[in-house]
Formats: sequence, structure tokens, C-alpha cells
Amino acid sequence: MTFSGGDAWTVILLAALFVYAIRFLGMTFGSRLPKTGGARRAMDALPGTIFAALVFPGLAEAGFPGLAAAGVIFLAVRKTGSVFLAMMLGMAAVAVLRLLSGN
Amino acid sequence: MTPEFARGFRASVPAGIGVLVYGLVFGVLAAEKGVSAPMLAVMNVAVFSGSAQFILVGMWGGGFPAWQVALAAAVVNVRYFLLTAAVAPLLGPFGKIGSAWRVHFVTDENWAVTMAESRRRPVSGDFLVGGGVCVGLFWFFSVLAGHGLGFSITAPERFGLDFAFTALFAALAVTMWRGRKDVFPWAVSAAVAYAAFRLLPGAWYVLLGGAAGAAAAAVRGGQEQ
Repeated sequence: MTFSGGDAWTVILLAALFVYAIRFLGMTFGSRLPKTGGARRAMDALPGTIFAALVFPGLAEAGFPGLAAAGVIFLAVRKTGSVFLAMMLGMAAVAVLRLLSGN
Repeated sequence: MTPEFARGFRASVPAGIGVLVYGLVFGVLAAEKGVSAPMLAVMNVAVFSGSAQFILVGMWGGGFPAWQVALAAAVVNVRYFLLTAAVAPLLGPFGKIGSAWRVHFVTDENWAVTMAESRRRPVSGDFLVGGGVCVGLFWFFSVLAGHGLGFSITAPERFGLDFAFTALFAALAVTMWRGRKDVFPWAVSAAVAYAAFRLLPGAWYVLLGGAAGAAAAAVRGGQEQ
């Protein structure tokens, strides 16, 4: 069964409220975080470590093509400075390697 | 529209193209679940989070109470707490009301682009919002286009499309690298994230990995001093 009309709108609006609350509380709490010390070092490292957490499982799950593509992406960003070009080359590398490996 | 807004918008176009791919797929899935186009349109603006919307539509019609579905979507987005905490200094100058609506424009993609840019130069909050509007437009129209298509894209992995977000985030990660002091935090982050990815449902791996890596940076820095 699907949600009836009223329920469906309730789900959407509740989700909107909850997700917005997370965004707002993060911003509000964040402005009160410390400026020095270990907590500050943690905050400064956080954007990068979130990236690492976001990217690594995806690369590992993609297997050899994923890890090889990561190498291509690394070199592409370092050589060209273009995130978009690196992304396209990475996707192309995965597609080609999957084709070659017969998956 | 300020020059910073326009710069942010342009800088987020590559991210928008990644979003577009997922938006099309999401739109197709939503159509199959029987979510109407007006509902999708409202969801795209009001929720404005790919991962949360994937959860909403995934649980759509499963007979769950409305609040549970909404809560599940929110839990997957707990990482936004960390994202908006990181950009709070950029939004502060806009005041309480000015920052209250601007923070809605924080998504993974334009946040990532903004943080990467802020490593190179001082960035304003308008850069972030410009990126959010860019990503939002790509998301809004690609989802509705996918909904209109109404057929399943077979074997998207053949074109590497399923790898689009991973490739984009990997490329942005390279631009975020701060050198040797990041080796230990990133290794901890990757290890914890991978374990959580395997053991826990949803998107907890991002939150736990990111937090563990940041904690590692705090501990390691303390030892060196």
C-alpha cells in the first residue's frame, strides 16, 4: 500500500522539518565551538576526515577498478587542477576497467 | 546577486552534473513508487537532501508510520550537523534571520566545493549559497525529468554512472589534503568508515568515520606539543 494523500504530505513536511532542524542546530552549535586546543584541531581536520569517510568505502566497494580510478583522479587533480575533469576521467577509468575485466 | 554568489554557482556546476545523474535515477525510482510530481517538487525544495529523499522514497508505501519514515530520513542526515557547524563562520555575518534561511542551502556537494575553495582563499557565505542554488536547480529539474521519463535505466554501472559521486568526492578530497599531518586522521577516518559501512545501516559510516578522524587529529596534535 502507498500513503494516502494526507499521510504522504505529513511525511514530506515532517522530514523537511527534521532535516532543517539538523542544519540549523549544527550552524547554531558550531558558532560556539572553541577556537584553540584539541577541539579546534578536530574541527579543522573534520572536513578532510569526512571526505575520507565518504570516499573510502565507495572506492573499496568498487574493487580494483575503483582503486585504480582513485589513482587516475589523484593524478588528474594534481596535474590539471580541474575537479570536473578528474571526475570524468575517474568515471571513464571505472567504465573501461569494468569492460576489460568483463563485469 | 553578488559576484561571490555567481562564483559559487559556477564552481558547483561539476557537482551539479554529478547530482543530475542521481536526480534522474531518483526520479525514475520515485515514479515507480507512485510518488506524484507535485510531491516530488515540494520534497526537492523543502527537504533538499538526496540521501534523506532516497530514504523517504525507499520507505514509501512500506506501511511505516509517517514520523518513523521522517525520522529515518533525518538520521541518515545527522552528518549535516557537522557540515553546517563547519560553515557557521561563513553564515554568521548574515545575522539570525539571514543565516536561518541560508543554512537550508547547505548540501554535501556545495559544502564540499566551498570548503575546498576556503583552503585557497577567504570565502563568503554567498559563495556557499550560490553553490546551493546551483546544486538545487540541477537536483530539482533532474528529479522531475527522471519522474517524467518513467522507465528504468538499465545497467547504469556500464557507464560508470554509479561511480559519479565517489569520483567527485575523491577529486575534492585530493584538493583538501593538507599534507603529512593528515595521514593519521585520514587513515583512522577511512578505517572506521569502512568498518561502519560494513556493520551499520544507512549513512552512519560518514559521521562515525569523520568524527573518529577528527578525534585522531585532536589526540595526535596534543602529543606533538
